[in-house]
Amino acid sequence: MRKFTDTTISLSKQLYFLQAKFPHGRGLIKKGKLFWSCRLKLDEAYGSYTIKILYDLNSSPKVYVIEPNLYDITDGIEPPHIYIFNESTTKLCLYLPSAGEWTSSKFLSDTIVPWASLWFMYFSGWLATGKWHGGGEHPDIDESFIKGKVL
Amino acid sequence: MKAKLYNENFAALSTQQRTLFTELLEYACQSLEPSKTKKELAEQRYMSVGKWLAESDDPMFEGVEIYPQGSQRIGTTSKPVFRAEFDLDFICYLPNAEGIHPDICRQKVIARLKENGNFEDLVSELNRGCRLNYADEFHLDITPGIPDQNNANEYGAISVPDKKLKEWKASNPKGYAANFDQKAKMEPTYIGFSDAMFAHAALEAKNIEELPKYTMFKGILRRAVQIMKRHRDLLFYDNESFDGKAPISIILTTLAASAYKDLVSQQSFRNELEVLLTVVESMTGYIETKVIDGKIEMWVTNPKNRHENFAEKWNVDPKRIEAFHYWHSDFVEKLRELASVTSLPLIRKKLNILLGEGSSSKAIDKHFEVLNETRESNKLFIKKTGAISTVATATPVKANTFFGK
Repeated sequence: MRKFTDTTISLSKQLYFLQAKFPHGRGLIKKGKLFWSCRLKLDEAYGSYTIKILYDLNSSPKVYVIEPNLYDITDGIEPPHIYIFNESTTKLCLYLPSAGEWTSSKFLSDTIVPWASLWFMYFSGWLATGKWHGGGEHPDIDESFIKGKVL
Repeated sequence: MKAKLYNENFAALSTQQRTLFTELLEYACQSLEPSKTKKELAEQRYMSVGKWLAESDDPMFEGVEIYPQGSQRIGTTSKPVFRAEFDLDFICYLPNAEGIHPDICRQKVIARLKENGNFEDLVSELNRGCRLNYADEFHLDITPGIPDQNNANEYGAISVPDKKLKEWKASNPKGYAANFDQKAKMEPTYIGFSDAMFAHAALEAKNIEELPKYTMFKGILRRAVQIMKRHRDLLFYDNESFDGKAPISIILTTLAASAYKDLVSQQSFRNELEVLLTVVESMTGYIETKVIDGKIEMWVTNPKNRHENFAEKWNVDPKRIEAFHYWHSDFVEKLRELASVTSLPLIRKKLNILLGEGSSSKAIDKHFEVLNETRESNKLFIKKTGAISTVATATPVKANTFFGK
């Protein structure tokens, strides 16, 4: 018997739950790709942010910050846990790849979206103190290089 | 009673924002206190001082007892600015030292301490007693005390050397502390839907035990006094025009305690922050004006001895009165400014000015520490708006590990 958790969730089901849980978001599915954008209104102390999620069943979800421009806010200083950070693009790292935190059998609305909100809370803390209070892991380039050699 | 400071600045804020302020002030105060290990160490140290004095052959030390007095006794310690050592005050009570001149008494205490190799290099003389200086830990300031010579006739009354060590002067640290404790223990009444009660009720209704930890002040009066003292220390640090004139702690403590007692017994509040701010605002009303020998004097009366004026020096040095009001209006202004900002980075900046960079940084660290504890026990939720909350809503936040550079 196949476990329920192994079942890939369809894009339309993903979109349905995103809209059900965050009704002010907007999204569509086009040519096998899910686009969803939403304003996350955190408590005032942490601010509000518009994010955009791009997702298809062959890759992991990509999360971009659309507004405000974080690059302007930080004067170009790169916060921790970010994939792309420049004047035009901010792409967040929200989970450890291949650790099972995210799989296609999970709902974006239960994982990616709350993780983005958490990321913004820690981002505010980082702006306030220069410290990242959210933990996490950084890819260790040397280690993966050595592992690569062994293999 | 006044409540302008709260009404005009904090009343319109969201519950979350007010809770955040309360929380950050509480954490900042925690960072101003000696750690548990430091407290235990201090206790060990003063007990061993007491033991050493008691082992003396000199009959003056018979029955000696050392006990804490001042801020550490009443729980209002505030870490000194730019110095590692806390000042901890003790009374060295000598029931058999009656009839001894105060200065002889003080010298004998010092001499006895110097006989012990462990204390010898740590002892220095103070006006009324002596200090044991444990570098990077604390100063144990010891004042000798003897049975009441001044007919104070009340619980806890003793006599201590006066500043010039010429005679014994009435004092009652135990009585003052008991009186302070009694006031601090009084619980404010909150109006129907206060933040705290509302949250409690909402959670109880859902049968969920998870109010965010530590969001309440650990004793509003004590926290108010700590914040006042801390702000005073920062404000007068390196201030040449008021050098040595800053309002002394006992004045701030006494005024705050009187205001707290009256406010709490006379009115209801919406939340803890309102209590704290109203205490700050009302405290100046407890400075009394008395006519003594045809002269008008300012008084901050010792609640345990109506003949003792803690503000005695104000009447010979008006600059001290000016310093007090300079402190008070600056304090009110800085609290007002705190309410004017919303984002965490700006709150941090305002807290820096109010309580110092170290305490504000520790307050924010602690805030996230508590958030992380909740996160680790999978008790965070996300609201429809996208805000993270500890109040159970539809969507729990699952475990994740932030990745990337």
